[in-house]
Amino acid sequence: MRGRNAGTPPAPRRQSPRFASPSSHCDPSPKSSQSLGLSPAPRSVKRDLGFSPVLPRARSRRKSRDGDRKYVSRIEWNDGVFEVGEDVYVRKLESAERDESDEEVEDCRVCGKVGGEVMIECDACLGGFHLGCLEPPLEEVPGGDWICFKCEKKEAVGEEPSRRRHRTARERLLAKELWAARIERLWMEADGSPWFSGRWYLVPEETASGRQPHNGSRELFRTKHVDHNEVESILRHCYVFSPEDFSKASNEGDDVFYCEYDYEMKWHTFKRIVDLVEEADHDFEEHEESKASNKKRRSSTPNKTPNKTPKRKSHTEVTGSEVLRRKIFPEDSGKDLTEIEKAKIALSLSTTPGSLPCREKECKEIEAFVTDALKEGLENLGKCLYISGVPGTGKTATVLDVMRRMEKKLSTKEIQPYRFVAMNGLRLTSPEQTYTVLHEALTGQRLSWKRALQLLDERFSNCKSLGGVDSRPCILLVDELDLLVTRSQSVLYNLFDWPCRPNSRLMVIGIANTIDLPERLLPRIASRMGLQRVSFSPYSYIQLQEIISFRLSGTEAFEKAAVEFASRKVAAVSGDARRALELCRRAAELAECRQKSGDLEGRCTCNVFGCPDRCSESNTRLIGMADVEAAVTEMFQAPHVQAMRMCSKHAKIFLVAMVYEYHRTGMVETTFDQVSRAQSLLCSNNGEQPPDKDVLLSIGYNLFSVFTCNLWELRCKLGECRLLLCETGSRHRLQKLQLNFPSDDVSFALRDCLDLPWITKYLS
Amino acid sequence: MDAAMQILRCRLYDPRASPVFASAEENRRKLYDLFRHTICQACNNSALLLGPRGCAPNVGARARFERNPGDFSGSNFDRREDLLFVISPLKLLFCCFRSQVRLNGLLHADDRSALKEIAKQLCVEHELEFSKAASFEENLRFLTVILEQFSLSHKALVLVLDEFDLFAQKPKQSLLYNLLDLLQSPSSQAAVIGISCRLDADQLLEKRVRSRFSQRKILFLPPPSEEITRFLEAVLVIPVDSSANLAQHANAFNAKISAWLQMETTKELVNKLAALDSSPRNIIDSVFRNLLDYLKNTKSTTPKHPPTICALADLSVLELFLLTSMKRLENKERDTYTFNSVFKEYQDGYKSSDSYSKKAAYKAFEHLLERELIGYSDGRAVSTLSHLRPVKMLISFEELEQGLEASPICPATLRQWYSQPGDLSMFSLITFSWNVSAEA
Repeated sequence: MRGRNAGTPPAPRRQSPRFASPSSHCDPSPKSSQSLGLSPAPRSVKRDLGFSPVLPRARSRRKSRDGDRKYVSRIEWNDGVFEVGEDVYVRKLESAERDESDEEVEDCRVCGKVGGEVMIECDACLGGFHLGCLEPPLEEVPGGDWICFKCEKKEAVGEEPSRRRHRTARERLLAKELWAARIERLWMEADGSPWFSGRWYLVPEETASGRQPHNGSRELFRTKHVDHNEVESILRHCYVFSPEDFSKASNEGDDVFYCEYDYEMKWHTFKRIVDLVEEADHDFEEHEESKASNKKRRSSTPNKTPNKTPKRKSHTEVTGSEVLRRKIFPEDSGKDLTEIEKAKIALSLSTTPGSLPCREKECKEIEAFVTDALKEGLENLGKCLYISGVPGTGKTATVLDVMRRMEKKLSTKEIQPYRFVAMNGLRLTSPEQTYTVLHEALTGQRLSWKRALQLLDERFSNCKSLGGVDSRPCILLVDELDLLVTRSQSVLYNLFDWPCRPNSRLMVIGIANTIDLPERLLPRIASRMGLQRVSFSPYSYIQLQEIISFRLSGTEAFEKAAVEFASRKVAAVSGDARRALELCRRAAELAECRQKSGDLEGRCTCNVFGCPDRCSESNTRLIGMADVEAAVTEMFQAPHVQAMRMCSKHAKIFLVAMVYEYHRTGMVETTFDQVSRAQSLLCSNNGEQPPDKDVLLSIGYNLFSVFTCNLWELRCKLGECRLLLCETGSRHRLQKLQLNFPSDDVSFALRDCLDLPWITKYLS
Repeated sequence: MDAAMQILRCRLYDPRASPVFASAEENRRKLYDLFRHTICQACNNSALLLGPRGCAPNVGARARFERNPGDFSGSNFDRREDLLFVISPLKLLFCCFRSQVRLNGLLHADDRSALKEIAKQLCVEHELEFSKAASFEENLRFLTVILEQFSLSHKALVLVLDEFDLFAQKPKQSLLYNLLDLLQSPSSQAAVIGISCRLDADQLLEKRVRSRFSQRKILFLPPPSEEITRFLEAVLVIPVDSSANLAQHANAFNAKISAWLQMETTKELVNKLAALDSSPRNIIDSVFRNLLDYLKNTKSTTPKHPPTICALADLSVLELFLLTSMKRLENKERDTYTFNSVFKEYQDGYKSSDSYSKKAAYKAFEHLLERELIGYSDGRAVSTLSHLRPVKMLISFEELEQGLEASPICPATLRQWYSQPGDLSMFSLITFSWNVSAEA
């Protein structure tokens, strides 16, 4: 029995996995010859690493609409029914001629017959045995792991040349003769041929690190890669489960697999699939532990998960809404987007532009760093780079852009292969989590951080034991580096110490906002991390202008002056590209709003009022200075002036009393007592009746109480809006008060107050 | 009758059903546009709704959701094709193309529990099993994945963060960072709406979080005072249903209401309230009692004095003496005083052999401290040297004066002493001591 490593989900005994009726055979030989000509080599694209990793949303959506494709949720094809969300075997082109061995059931390793009796599966070699053929015969399937007699004797596998055995699809998959994929979409092309887009699964041997001891024998890895193929190339169904469902599955036949990790083809890193499985910190006693925690976990039973697992019901839900979508957005798809809508999409932060203008210099520096580090050969690859800059200056985007370029170089074999791991300090539960994440990404094994630290430490200090993909250099990108600072700063120390070790083959790129982070750390860290730096300065207005016009290239929605105005405004404040884009987007929205109202009313009313500039077509179609200005005031104006203008009469007097006290004493802080005295003074001096007696008596309060009590409430209200800063209420009249903004703002806000004209003289 | 009660109750207590001010209408349109962009055009948005309490920014958010399709048909779309164009998809949009998560800063103590709550609400909505043991990281990844799935099926997620300022005061702001960062990715379709009564809530954000926030602020303000009467009418008048036989009752009720609204006292009362605070909630609360009195023809008994005066009126003579000595000390421009100095002032003012002992005075002093009529003026919480710690009176002179007036046992000499500078005369001392002994 093989010792199970941590991280491997249990693969408990499944009862009679092969007990399937032989009648379900499909005879594929005639089709296969046909498919030889038809089916394109499905996965040839997949090996090409140059595919663009992120499709902008707009593009992907349009792509799905184009042509005369008819999307369906199920297709019947060659005796099989395929639905979206199901997992299937896909033929490789070259294996088409061996189709005759597409057995769905496997023969017994002892008697060589198929079916008929309950069979048991060896956990080591996956060979099947009739219970009766065993020595001694078993009555029923035993619990726990079961190893066949051959494996027990540690006989070499593949020893039986005498009898030609049938090969199941499962075996062929594991032998890399078939592929497995999940159908993500089905459609009929215009010529009536059915197609599907499938997301590929990999067997452990296909990953860069090869089969690891902790990989299960039926483990698969899901990739992010999706290809379009003809339904022709599908062999038949297989079933990929989460580890938990896998352990529960009993009767699905031989074509059962489990999948726990996403495999990133570009970087050869692993990522645990969310919701397929939950982790617990289990590095001991896998079996019991996971059984016990099964109930706690967010397991995805087939009929419950809506969208992420390959379960049938879930996907009908998704496809259902997909159908809905097509019903709902007919006008959207039908009409072309207006210029402004195009501009809005181009300006939104979530669109990824093809390239980053204005960061060429930094880009070059980073690229030089990476290539240098990769080229230096195996000895002493260790290097650190620290990138600093205020938010919104494109730090992460630039690094990722560089990585994209490196990928291209990689595909043309200009540089040696490497791995890339990215993490973000603010997404980690604790700084120590770094170790776990890094280790998991490199090996696909989840450990507690202490254990991960130990293993990582070993890994980086002696390299000789590592071979294969592990010997590739690894680039680690840590975003929001400052969040990893702990009291002893050990996480940062380790992160920057490992690259300095001989033969560690690790490179660290750290990104943070502050320019002097290394100096704030312990000297031993600063000396390691502060050697190479790139700092991103805030964008100047020219740069911002360039960025915006780059994004807007292709649309004519903006006036040139408007773009310049917006970028000047933002550059003066922060030089934050995000903000500039948001500002322009808001301006576009305002313009759209204006146009809409112009369309509805404008045509008639504008003529009546005779305002020519609003009606002239060319003017309203473009986003002009006025829109940008409106957006600027909306974004940059603090709301307190408006709030002060709209607050009630006595609240205004209260504010004036504060200012008055401030001018009188010259102290910023006053007490509630003083202010209330000033207020009653103001009221009585100016004929403003402080809430008077008879009315108040009528509702049962006397003058004084309403006056102070409500003053009190007023104070609470103003304090809550943070127009005032004040102490806690238990100090009563001694509570200290302070205006939360310059007193000039009060003067400005209340200067032309209509209901209290006398107020102005106290504000000067 | 029941139906009428139901309507009134809804309007008064359910924020969704209450009528809306004209100024709020503008905000609703803005908010509506924002959601429309998120849902129809897949623009990720974030916004802050600001406004003092009682002006109901969150009411705005909620009302927006529930009532949108209907509003839309009624308001600004007159043309037939527009109606056809817009309503049918929007109705569908609002029921099936969004999913909403609400959080409250007061309920979620830290970012982890808040994120867990998000995961929980999503799990409940989509019938997933929720795991309590999931960590921050897992929940975050779950959120990312589910957002991806949502955007594949063109479903928008709306996250409403009530008491936004409290989220911003969490140490790392990692929740806000991550939520706003998710909005930057192309594979999500979501809107994050923060609701806060702090006008400077966006200033609390860290730089990197603020950069990701879209800086849209929608300000909810109390309505101008002119609108209030109209508002009250809208709340209180029952729609008359001609078919029901209760129509006459409704008419009678409405007539009464309008008569009440026309009354001078009512108008004055409303003006008064508006001058202090014109938020709808406050006005409804305050006017309601008056209305009930009017409808039932009763005069409801009201407390004679406000709470502070009542508290003062209940004090013993010695306590009143101590308070008065404090006031006298303050009049002498002594800003801080300790128990010792107060007692000395009392003894100086009250030169008589039968004055209370220091021990009794200290007991009274402690009692005053307990009732928070006076307080230590240095910040320290507990100290044994309370005789020497500086104290401060927490009530104003006017309140003290009224308290003396209202107190049934306050001796005349004390009132005299309160208003007169200097010591008590011999005569008043005698009468006072007589009073005290009579009490004892």
